Amino acid sequence: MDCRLVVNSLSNYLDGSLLEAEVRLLEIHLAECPPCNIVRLELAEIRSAARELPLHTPQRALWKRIQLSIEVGESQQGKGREAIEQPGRWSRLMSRHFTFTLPQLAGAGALVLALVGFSLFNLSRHAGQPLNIQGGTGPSLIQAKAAMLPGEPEMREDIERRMSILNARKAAWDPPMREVFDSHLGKIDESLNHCRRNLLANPADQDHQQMVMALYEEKLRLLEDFDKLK
Amino acid sequence: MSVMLAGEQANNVTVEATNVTASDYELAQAAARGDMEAFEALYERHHRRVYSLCLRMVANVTEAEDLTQEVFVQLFRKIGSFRGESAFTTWLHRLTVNQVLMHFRKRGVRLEQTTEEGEMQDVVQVGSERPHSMPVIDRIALDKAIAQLPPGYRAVFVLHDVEGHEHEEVAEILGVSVGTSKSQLHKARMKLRELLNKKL
Repeated sequence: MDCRLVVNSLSNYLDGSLLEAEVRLLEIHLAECPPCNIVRLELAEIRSAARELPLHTPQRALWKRIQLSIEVGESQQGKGREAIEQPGRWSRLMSRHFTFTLPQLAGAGALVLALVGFSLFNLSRHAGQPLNIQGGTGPSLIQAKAAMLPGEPEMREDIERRMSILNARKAAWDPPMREVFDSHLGKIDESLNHCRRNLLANPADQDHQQMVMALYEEKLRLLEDFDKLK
Repeated sequence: MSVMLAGEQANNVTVEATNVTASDYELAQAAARGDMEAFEALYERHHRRVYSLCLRMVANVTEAEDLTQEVFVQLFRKIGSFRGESAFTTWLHRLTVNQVLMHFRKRGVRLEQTTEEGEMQDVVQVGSERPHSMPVIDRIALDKAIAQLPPGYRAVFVLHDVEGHEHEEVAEILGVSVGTSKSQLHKARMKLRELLNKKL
């Protein structure tokens, strides 16, 4: 048997994973080859010494570190959970998409055209008077109060209540957070104004009625989400 | 007041005595209910074994202490899920190994090594080089030699020869084949032999 082959099989031999025939051949070789036998003895020594290695002891301060880490972890668990949830809400807000049905989309298309015409008309009549799209109290919405949809007053009341709470907190928000909030709110209010104007022209338009209520719900969800962010 | 203090002291002694005699499972249950003394008792019992395993696997004192800390923090968080179906030591051992492997993964350590600086030459170092087999191995020298092994060899050697896992278990833990485990173990032993012979 070749010495190289024998040495390469020594670990398997020591671990008892060779076949009987292989063991016999190997032992014959070992009996006749002192160098290979020395390797066997040395590997066997390493193998048995490894089982008796002493245990090491870490620094005594390690327990204090662990204790502190657990205490900090426990106290921050609530905060941590919130922090984990916050990016979720945040990313949800960042990635929020407005989903509309086909009739609503068709209505929206018509609305854009109507809006352009209406805007031009309005601008020519009220030159220099800006449209208020943030507060929901612009001229078009004031006019719209005359034709409130079912459930709309309650929805608006709820929105106004939440808005006043959030407005009080808004100053403490990070600028990017304010920017996202304003941007989303702006889009919703803009769409609301468009729908409202369209409903003024055609109060029986069910698509726009649905859109108005859907937009109020969207606005409410936005306010709720930001309210949860604290 | 002094009576109360004496009473408290007696209570502490009782708690400590209880913790000394309590089984790992009992301590684990108490720790799961937030009993830090029970958890400390578990730490006292097992921290050296956990630390030694971490140290042998990563071969770095600071990293081993950090890992030990992480293991016990994880243990505290998960201890409620210990149902006593397996021995606590087995459960803790697995938790420790997982933590070490996660550490390896974070650092991009490859455990399946085929060619690197620790690769063995298949040439037999003949007996003429050293007329006698090495005397009883100095355990400290062996520990130091283990630390010099490449991570892949070291992991297999520690799990198989030090911790007593079978090749099938080592292969499963490290995510390698049984053949790789056997081959790496042999190379690890040969490398240790070479390192120890250099020192003697």
